[in-house]
Amino acid sequence: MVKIKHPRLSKPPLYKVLLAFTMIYFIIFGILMAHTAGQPDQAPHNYYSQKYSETWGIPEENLNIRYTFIGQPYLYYWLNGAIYKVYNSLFPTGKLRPVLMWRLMSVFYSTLTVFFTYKLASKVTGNPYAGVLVSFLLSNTLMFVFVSGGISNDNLMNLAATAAIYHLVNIYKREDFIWQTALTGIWVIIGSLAKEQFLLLTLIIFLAWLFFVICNCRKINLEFKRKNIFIILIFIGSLVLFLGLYGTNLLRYSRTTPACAQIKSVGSCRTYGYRYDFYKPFNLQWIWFARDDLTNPIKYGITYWGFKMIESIWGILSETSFIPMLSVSLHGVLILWALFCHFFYWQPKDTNATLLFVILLSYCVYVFLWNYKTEVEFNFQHYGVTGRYLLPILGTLLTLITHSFMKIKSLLLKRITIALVVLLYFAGGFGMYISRYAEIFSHWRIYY
Amino acid sequence: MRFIKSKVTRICIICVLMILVTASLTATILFRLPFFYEQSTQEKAMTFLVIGLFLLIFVILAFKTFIFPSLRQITKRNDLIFIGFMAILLTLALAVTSAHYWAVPEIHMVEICFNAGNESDNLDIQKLVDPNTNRLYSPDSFGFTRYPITINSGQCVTGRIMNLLSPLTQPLMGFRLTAVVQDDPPEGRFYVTINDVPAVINFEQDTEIQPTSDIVFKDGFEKGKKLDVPWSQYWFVCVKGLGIFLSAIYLSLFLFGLTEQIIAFSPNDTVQPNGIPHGQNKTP
Repeated sequence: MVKIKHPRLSKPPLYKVLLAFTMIYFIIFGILMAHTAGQPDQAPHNYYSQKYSETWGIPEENLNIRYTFIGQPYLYYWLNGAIYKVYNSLFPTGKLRPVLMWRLMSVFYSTLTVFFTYKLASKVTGNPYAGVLVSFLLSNTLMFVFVSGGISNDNLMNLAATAAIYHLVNIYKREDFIWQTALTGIWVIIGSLAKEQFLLLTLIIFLAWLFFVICNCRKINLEFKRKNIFIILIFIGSLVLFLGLYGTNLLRYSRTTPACAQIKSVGSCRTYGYRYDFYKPFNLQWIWFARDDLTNPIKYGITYWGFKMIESIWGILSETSFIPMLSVSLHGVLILWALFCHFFYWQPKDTNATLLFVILLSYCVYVFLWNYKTEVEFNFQHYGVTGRYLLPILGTLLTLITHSFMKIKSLLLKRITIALVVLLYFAGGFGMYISRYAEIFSHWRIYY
Repeated sequence: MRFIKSKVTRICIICVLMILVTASLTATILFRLPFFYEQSTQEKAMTFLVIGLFLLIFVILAFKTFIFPSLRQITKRNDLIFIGFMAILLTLALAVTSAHYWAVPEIHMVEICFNAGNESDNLDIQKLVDPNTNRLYSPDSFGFTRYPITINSGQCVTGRIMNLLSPLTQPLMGFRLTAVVQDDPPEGRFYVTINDVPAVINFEQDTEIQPTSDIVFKDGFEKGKKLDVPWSQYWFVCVKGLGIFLSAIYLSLFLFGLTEQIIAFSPNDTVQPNGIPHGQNKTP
């Protein structure tokens, strides 16, 4: 008798099961948020997506309305339009409303962000369980999940940022240089084509990459494999699109994206959305004379900006707002504790943690200075001061926080810290959504 | 204690423990959610059962994956300190972070009528809200699955609203109902009775003072029906307290097992798809 050998299914490692659970958990939370109103700027995002649903190219400019297409980052809207057209051709009688479809697309992008955050944290800490922990923390960050449920190019930008930083860390970890460089470049370009704000991160990542190349130019192995050629071709294609947008804009309009008035009549542009184009610019000389009466950057940062960022990342600050003060304050304390651990246990050879810290710091400093400049120009009316602008580096922040906690020497303290982090994030995330649904989120419910 | 050494007895004890833990966790979750109180007894039992079965799967998996493997390791003083600390913290947190958990429901019968001046306009009620907590009352009992509740001229809708009275928040709360009606309501007579106590609002468009869309009702709430059995009985409060304590113990053990997995991970435990252990890297 011949004995038939059945292939034995190997049991997946526990961290993979936990990761799958975390991603399903995030998808459920994200879909619930897709049925919640109040995400930022839904009207323009919806309008652009609709217009891109009518063409495979760039929609025609309508000179009578305030929204412009020429020279603007388009990738997110183009993808929204493409998915709508594909859905319509596959299911001509389908009843899925485009708004819900685009919101679900956002949830999809953010699920990938959660996955890349796991990969980033696993890589930096060398511990896949820490990676799962970080993805769980991200899945319970209220503003991140809230924005993930809306139509917003922020979601594609956040994905691109996390993925690009992950591949940059791989470069620093001395993995296949060409492959990782090309992937970093592709994600950076995806982010830049999704939203102009990403250009700053493009610059930071490029400088970090350049620094690595300069420091390691003799050790880098430029081995051209077949798969490398393929990825390089994709990278070059992306680069053409990048230069086609921003290069053309720089040559034609002397700006990364044209001002409304460079495309349309001034009358069409005098709206709140284009307020930056029509205000008295930041004047250093005037600040010199007004320095005694002006809220200086240090006071502004300590008394207002820092708290606002924490409130609007672990709470919700948008067209609708919900700031659970106890939860937000505890998140603030946790960041201070992580900061202390980071510096207390810092070692010069921990290049990845240092790299992430430099990226985080550069990005935060830029957003702070940009916010402060706007505050001075608009007489401290707090336009655009929200933690949403820090979401691209949120995965990096959470990775650094976890990495710092993993270095705590006292086992009991480390255990208590991790347990409290898990509890705090659950209670301030999905737990908060469920327990406060009747009081807060049911008021924002959307019925499709 | 020989009987504990028997495998069957051990399995039975574990099963009973897991069922107790599941029931405690289910109660700890559901008693925090207002929708649970608004259900009928049968619906409550069904919800409890469904959520309980769902949680049982997680409880069993967590027992098997995190708690059992780490139980033997709980010998050091630090481990016991961790479990004790977390159990106390969780018991306190679960006990005081939700007013609804200790709440006693009180039912108020509500009738809402509208007579339009032209006898044809309808009135939309956008929301019925508890002004103390901003809690949205369920429109189900008024015969609507969602807001707005539309009342045709000359018609009435009847339903019930439920206040949740908790010793943690009751001293600061008044019994009130806010009805948020449509902007610019049609001219007519808006008539609301709460526990047979009437209140009337006349919407008039020609007057200088325009009616606001938020209308607060205060009268009639003293005649509500408080459901003391079993919600305010001592044995039930004690059972709920025990539920919190059991949940806290279980969650502490779970967190111990989870943190053990995270902290005790060694890069050599797993290998990447390329055959290299996690944490080790290729060199160029």
